[in-house]
Amino acid sequence: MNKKLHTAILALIAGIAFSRTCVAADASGDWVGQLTGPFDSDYTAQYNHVSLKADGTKLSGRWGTYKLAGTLTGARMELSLTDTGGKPAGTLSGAQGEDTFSGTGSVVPARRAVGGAAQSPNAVTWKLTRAAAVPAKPKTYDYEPTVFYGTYSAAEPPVLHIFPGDTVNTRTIDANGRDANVPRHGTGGDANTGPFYIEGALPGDTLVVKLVKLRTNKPTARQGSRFNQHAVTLAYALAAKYDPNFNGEWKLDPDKNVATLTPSEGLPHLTIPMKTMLGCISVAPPGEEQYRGTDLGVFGGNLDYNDNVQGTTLYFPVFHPGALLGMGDAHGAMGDGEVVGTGLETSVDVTFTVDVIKGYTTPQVRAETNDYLISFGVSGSVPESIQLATTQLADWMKKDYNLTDSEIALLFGDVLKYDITELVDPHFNVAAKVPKSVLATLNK
Amino acid sequence: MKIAALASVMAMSCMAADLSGNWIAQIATQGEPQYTRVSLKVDGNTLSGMWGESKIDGTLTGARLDIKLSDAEGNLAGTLTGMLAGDTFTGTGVISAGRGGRGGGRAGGGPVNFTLARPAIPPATPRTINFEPTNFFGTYSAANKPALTIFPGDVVHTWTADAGGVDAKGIQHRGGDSNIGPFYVEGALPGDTLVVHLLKVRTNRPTARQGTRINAHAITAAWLTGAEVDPKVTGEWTLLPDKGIAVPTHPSEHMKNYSVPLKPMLGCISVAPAGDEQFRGGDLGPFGGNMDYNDNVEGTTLYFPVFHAGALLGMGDGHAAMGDGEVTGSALETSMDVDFSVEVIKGDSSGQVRAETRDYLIAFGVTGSVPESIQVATSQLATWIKKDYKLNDSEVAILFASTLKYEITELVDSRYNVVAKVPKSILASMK
Repeated sequence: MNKKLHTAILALIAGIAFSRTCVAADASGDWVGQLTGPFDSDYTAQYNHVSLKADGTKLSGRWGTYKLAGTLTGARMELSLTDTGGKPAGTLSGAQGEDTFSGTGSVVPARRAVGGAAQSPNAVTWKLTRAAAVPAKPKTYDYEPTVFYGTYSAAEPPVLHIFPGDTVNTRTIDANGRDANVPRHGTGGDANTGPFYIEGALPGDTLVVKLVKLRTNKPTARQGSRFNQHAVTLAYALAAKYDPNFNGEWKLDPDKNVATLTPSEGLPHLTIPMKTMLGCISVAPPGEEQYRGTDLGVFGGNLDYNDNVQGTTLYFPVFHPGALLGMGDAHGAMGDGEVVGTGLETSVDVTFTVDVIKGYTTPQVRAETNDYLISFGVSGSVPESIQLATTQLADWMKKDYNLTDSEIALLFGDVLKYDITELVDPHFNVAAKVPKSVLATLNK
Repeated sequence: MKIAALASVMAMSCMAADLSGNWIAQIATQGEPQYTRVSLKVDGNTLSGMWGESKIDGTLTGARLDIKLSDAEGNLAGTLTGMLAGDTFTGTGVISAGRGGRGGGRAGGGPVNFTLARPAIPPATPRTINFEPTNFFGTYSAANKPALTIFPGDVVHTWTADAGGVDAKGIQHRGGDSNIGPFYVEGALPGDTLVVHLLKVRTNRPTARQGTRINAHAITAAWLTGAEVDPKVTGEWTLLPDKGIAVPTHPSEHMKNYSVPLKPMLGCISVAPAGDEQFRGGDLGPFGGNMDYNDNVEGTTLYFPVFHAGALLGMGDGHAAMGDGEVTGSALETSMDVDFSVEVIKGDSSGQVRAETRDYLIAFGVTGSVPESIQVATSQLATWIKKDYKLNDSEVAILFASTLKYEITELVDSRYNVVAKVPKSILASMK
């Protein structure tokens, strides 16, 4: 052992001992607060960013949107919470454990306290754990997936913990479970890579995912060749004579960025530009909800948006600590609505980075490309999806651009664009978008 | 005497020779007449030719015409007798009902009254016509009297008032998305396609007006009931065509520097709807009408199914710019200078309106719901591409699945309109 290393280890040991003392002596800093009601599981519990400032035995700070005041006497913690209007919002008492505090109390449910009648507090158990310390420098991970999960659910164990600012190089299998190297993983069904646990992301935050790189990693893609019933009239569907031997295999050339269909009589040389996209990208859905890989919702999932490409940034509402990001179901290209039920299904190499916007919530997924701000509306019907997408985009304009309702109406009446992105899966998806060039002329 | 008799014989034979060529047959029905293109060939007293898709065998005796029609399989399809008076044959006979015979069992047919007349003769060279509108029709209907008769190839310079009926000079005409025209296009018959080239669509005054409330079909009920009207937002626009932009005339605080690119379009463009149907100017259907497609701009070509002789083309409701779906119920409503020309594709028509821009082939789907409009637009585009590019159902499916684009063009009027389109660059690479 050289002397330099020896000194470093000594310093490390000293550092650990010192920091232990610090925890005991000073509760100041960032914590994650968990409030669990009598009917809650870990998946339905309420999580908040908590900041504490200790001054002698006195404590002050914030518990989510509530103001916090209290005492820390030895290992005993007593807290009282007040809402933004200054009204009492609950009391908590408990004791110190190893790097944690926990106890019991009663708290007015934060979400329900807004707008409606006065809420009576709920009995809760509570827990404070230290927020993970953010590393000095962002890291880059090469993550080689070995498991692929077929169900969107907070119960999926995370495969990697990352921090805001970190970059991950990884890959996804195609919707049917195949990739560049191995014949088949699992059962297909739009299985996803991940989930990735993003430190610092809590319910009520927004997870930001930037798709830095997307590149197909096998030379072929497969596509269906029969129209889904949502895309054509019943008369057309009944009269259609599909060729049972039709070969829907494409050759992919990512260097030239083109895909070429296996020749058929009518399409002897169909060549289209590639636009490599991720069909599925998601966080874990709210509470104990579980959805199959092909499904989509407020958590994202099988959004099948053909502008979820390299360079696009996605914004997800966070429903669980760590957000639990996953992705898969890449397409070498796809027309609007995925009208045959598939795109050019293939596997891809993916590089992404993440960030967290604390305390900023969106009802459904949003995106940003070079040219547009985009809002998705996932629902059980196209008309409802149109309304949801427009509404979410309107809320965005209201919040981030301080526009009045009439100004938003005028803006949308002038420049709004819609994309019908998903017609053929368990839910429908419509995108509403506004050009960033026009938004740049607004005074916030 | 002898000379006179000879002259008479010569005149007769001259006339007989002249009867060869194209005719339009019109068969009276209880509703609108049925039209058929007829070609006659006269050889002495013998007549041959085609009556629509039926073969003609017959005789011409003086002014009397006797013909027998037979279908493609050689079965008897009708017998007709008529007399020439002036330039028109008038007569009676029995004819199999053409439409009923398609697909189903053999149609019974029945007695008919018919006329055979010469089609209008086009001018030697296409004309350029300056048309100053004086009448604005507020109802799509074949009962509107044509304002001008034009031939394929003719170019018309004209203008439209805004949706409220105000023209470039501020003169108020009929409002309610009223249209100029209708233009009677010679040679267009039911079952044909009318082709309209929009050669010029430019704003012709410096002002436009827009609604400032989002329509209920575009936004959730929760948002709508919570929305507050901002009285500072007037919806008045100043158009700056030299800069290619529009700016709010009385901008609110956040919109002091706001501008939108001009993209002048025609909200309404139509032929007369089928049969005795009548629709208000704000309505839309297989005849076109208030389609509100923001790519119906200068350079776009539209294809209409023809439901009546002359097609009866009309247009109006110019917008200086419009977002998808016309979500405020109106766009930047203004008047326009319009140049257009027309063509007719004989014997071929589509279920609804289609269009072609520089980059895309486009099919519209106008129905009572957005999901149905998606299906109609996709099916119409698929039918078009299958026919013109000789693809089978699997080929058109995979082509669409890899390159189709949808646009939601109309959310706020009496019916919905969705566009399905494919890039021409891809179609060009296929051939």
